Amino acid sequence: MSLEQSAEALRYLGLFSNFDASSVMSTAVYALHPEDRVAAARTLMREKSISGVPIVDADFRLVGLISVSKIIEALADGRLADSVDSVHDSLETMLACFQRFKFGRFPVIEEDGKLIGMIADTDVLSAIVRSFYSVYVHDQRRMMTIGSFSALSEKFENSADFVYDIRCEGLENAGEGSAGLKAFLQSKGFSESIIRRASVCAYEAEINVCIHAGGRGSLRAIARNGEIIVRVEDEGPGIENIDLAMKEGWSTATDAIREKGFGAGMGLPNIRRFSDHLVIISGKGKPTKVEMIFLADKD
Amino acid sequence: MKLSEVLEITGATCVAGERLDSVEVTHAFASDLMSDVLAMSGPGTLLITGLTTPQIIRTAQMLDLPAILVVRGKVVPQDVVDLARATGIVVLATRDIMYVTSGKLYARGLSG
Repeated sequence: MSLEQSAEALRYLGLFSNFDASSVMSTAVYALHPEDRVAAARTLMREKSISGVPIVDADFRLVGLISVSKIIEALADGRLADSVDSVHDSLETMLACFQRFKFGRFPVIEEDGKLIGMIADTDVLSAIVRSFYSVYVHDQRRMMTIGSFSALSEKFENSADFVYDIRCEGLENAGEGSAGLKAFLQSKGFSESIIRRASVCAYEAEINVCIHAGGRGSLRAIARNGEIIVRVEDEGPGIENIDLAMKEGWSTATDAIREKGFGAGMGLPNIRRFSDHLVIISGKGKPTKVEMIFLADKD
Repeated sequence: MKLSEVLEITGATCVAGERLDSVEVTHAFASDLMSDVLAMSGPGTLLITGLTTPQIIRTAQMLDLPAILVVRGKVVPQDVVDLARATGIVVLATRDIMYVTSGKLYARGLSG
């Protein structure tokens, strides 16, 4: 998969739709005053391993940015003792340049011009990595899975073969959707074993919606070409730490739920155990999407 | 082991289902944690549990378990009985605790 295709796949996933500058930027920003020397900028960049420093006035308003290339110019001209103000790019120049050149960093300012952060390419990369933290893929074929996941999104919107709206008070009718799914899969002539795996996983996911997401969500499936894809979605409050949630025995469920035989921290581990591909997209305060793929030829 | 034998060995009563001599169980699994049941048991298993929620029926349904034996003298609510009948899952009930029930069945050859 090419880089462009990956970017397209990620865009398709809507993974980064909730990204804004403030969620990507680093806020521990090193800045210089216009009267600081170029030599100070050089030292700062070397010590902190950064390739550009924003210049701010006494009120922390952004007035410019000094980059490695400017330092090299100043070095060549013997102007290291000059103030950074004399060599830095003005904000106007920066803005114009941002449009023309591929800069490695962008200052983030508030409406009043105050510098609140910086976004370097590494920040973008870390933000993507952080986001992947909440895309849990349990097998080695991560890109393939995400690729198929993105392609499936549209299928689910338009033509899921099985649709069940989860509307559950407590655990009252929890499992009704999965029972419906099982009957549907039986009518499609799948083997007993793949139906059992898909039903168990759908059931665990449905129970999770009832326990953790106020019993509101959807259970949808596509069953074609010997393959079953089940997606269970809810509106949140999301899984704060998916790595923990994937651990056997870890749970945030209440005692009342445990007394009913669930919340023992086995739901997601069970789903991982019985599915062939698994993608979980969630995060604190976000909707949760659990997509499971079951391949007939594994049976 | 036929369910009619399970009934006889454990002194249980049948709450839902009929023709117990025609239903066979090959193993038993005793737990009140449904996710453990989902993780560790398979078709043909008798589920021994102290829970009486609708989810015991759903769990059995997902796994193709033919029967559930409710222990500790719990009364199975009518909606659970109805769900068992609708899904064709046999429900038995005994006053014995889970350990005693399991021991009796194990001693007579029903393995885990």
